Parts: sequence; C-alpha cells; structure tokens
Amino acid sequence: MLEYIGKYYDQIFTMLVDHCKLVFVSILISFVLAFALSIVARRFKAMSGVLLALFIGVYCIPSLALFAFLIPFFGLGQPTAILALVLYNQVLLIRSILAAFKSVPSSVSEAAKGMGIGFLNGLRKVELPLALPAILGGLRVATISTSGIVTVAALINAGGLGVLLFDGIRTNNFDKIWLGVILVCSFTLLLNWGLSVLEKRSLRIARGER
Amino acid sequence: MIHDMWQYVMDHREEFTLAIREHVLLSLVSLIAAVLVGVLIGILCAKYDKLANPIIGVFTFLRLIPSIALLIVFMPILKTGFMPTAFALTILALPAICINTYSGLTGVDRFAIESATGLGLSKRDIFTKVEFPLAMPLILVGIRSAFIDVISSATLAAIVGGGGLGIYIFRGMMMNDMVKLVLGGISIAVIALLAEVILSLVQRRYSRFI
Repeated sequence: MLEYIGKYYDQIFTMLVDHCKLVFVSILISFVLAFALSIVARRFKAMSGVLLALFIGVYCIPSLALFAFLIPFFGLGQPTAILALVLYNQVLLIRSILAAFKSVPSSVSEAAKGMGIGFLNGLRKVELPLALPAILGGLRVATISTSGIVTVAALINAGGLGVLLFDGIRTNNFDKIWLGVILVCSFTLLLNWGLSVLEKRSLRIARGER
Repeated sequence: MIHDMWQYVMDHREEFTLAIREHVLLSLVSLIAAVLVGVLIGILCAKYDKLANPIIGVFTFLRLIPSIALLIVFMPILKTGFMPTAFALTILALPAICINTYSGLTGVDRFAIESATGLGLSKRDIFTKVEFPLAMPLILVGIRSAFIDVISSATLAAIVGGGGLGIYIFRGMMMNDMVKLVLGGISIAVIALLAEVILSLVQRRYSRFI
C-alpha cells in the first residue's frame, strides 16, 4: 500500500481535495437553504409539516436511486451529486434547526421582544446563540452522512475518495480498496471530531460559562 | 419513458421479479439478524454496566463509518455473494438498533420500575411487562433507521456481487440506458418508502404507552 501511495500520491491528493470540496460545498448550500426554509416554517406553521413530510420522503430514497432519477435531467458529474446531497440534508438540518429554536425558552425570547428588540436582532443576539449547540449537532450528523454519500457519488463521476474504492473493486486491487477505506473513514472521523469540538464550545457559550 | 419501462418489465418479467426478491430477501435477512443480535447486546449492555462503555463506544464508532466503506471492507475477507453481503449489512444495521435498545432501557423512568417492584412483580416480569414495553418506541426508531440504511446499502450490494435491484442502476449507468437506470431507481425507492410507511405504522402502535 505504501508503494501505491508513493507512486500515485498526487492523484490521491486530488481525490482528497475533491472529496473535501464536495462535502464543503454541499453542506454550505444545504445549510443556507435549510436555514431559510426553517425561518419560513417557523413563521408559517402549516408549512413545516408539509416541508418535513416531503423531505422525509426524499431521505428514505437510497442515494443510488436518487442519483438514478437525477441523471436523466442533470447528467453525470458533480452538480448532480451536490443536488442530491442538498436534498438529503434538508430533513436532517431543518429538523434540528426547528428543534433548536423550539428549545429556546419562550420567556427569554419574549423578554427580548419586550425590550423592543426587532425580529432580526432578536434572532441574531438572543435566539441564535442559545440554539447554536443543537444546530451544530444537526450539522454534524448531516456532514457525516454527506461524507458517506460523497463516497458513493464517485460512481456518477463526481470524483472524491470513492474513486479509490470502486476502482479497487473493479481491478481487484486490495491495496487501493484498503487505502480508500482508511482515507474515507479517517476523513469522516476527523470531521466528526472537529464538529463535536465546536458543538461543545457553543454549548459552553449558550450556558453563559464564557 | 414510462411505457418503455413497462415494456422492459414485461419482456424481462422473471429477471425483474428475481431482482426484487433478492433485494427484499437480502434486506430482510440482514435486518432480522441485526434485530436479534442488536437487541440482545443492547439488553446485556443495559443490565451489565461494565459491558456498556466499551460496546457502546465501538458501535458509536461503527456508526460514523460510511456504509459503502463498511460493505467493501468485508469483501476481501468474506469474498462476494449473498451471505457475505448479508453479513456486512447486518454489521451495518447493528449500531443503530443496539444503541437505541440500550438508551431505551436505561432511559426508563426509575419510578415505573420502583412501583412495579412495590406491586410485587418478579424481576423477569418487570423486564417483560414494564421496562421493555417502555423502551419499545426508541428500539423501533433504531430498527426503522437501520432498515432504511440496509435497503439503501443493499443497492450498493450489486457492486460486491450481492445481487438485487442495484444491478439495474449499475447497468443503466454503464450502458447509458435511462430506462434501466430509472426503473431500478423507482423500484428501490418504492420498496424503501413502503418499508418506511409500514415501520412508522408499527412504531405508532407501540408508542401508545408514552
């Protein structure tokens, strides 16, 4: 395996960068969209049920099947993968964002309102800091699932570390398979660790310990 | 498109039903094995504190690993085919079921157990009539998420020789045949959504105690 790494380190590095890029871009788009949808859902209660039911349905569809639906319209490649990932993440993120805002004690947000804080300011200065730990928890779950699905997305020519796995299977090259497995797993575990650190820090801030 | 798919199914009826049967059988066998083993380990962890930390730790770690990596890791060891794939899928489904069983049982209200003891129930009766029914909703949540995961990963099983409907997606992708691709996608999505609906109905029935 070391021999393989020595020979193709530049290609492996490109795959790693592609993997990071795909995860980062999809999470960024997913989060912005989910946040906007959550704010809408919070204002119009009837919307939240419909939205969640819709995205739960999407979430149940296996990733390869979802790719299969999207390929006839968007072709193979990264845009299709990102679109599928954004669709998947919605239910995880919207659910956690809504739950996070619900966990903010109403006495706190009402006190803020009573002091004449506006909708946006109240969101930014009062509700968001208190809701942040739960939101980051949802973000962590979504990031881990994204990293897993990005691996599968190598099948639709999106690149990333999954290429090592699938090429390895096709050519029966176990060095490649093991390397792919090790890289994918350590990448995911690293992301999990980094986001849990952020989550713990935000929890301390929300509790007023800092 | 729909007409073409119908035509294809009619022309290849046997092959198509075989693929469905393989997919459903693979998912069910893995899920049932995972439920039996996972619930048992969960109960053991809840009863013997010493076991809980290491086992739950291992499963929490396993849960972070992308399913495709887990599926492929077993390939060099167990070779390809139905049973190895079923084994890998079982391992995949175990963490969610085991962790939820453990947290369901340890989360049972202490007062419920104490009043049962006060009523003179034997230890065994307390477990079967009080603790387990109260933990049931959470166990079912675990089983549900594990099942969805198994059905989607069974799609990937086609790549490691496990058969199932994933074959249509891979063939469709390789030969640029949209009919096969979307046919595979739709069949898998229907199975997954059906499983989700059935399990959520079961879950609702068993949640009446809460």
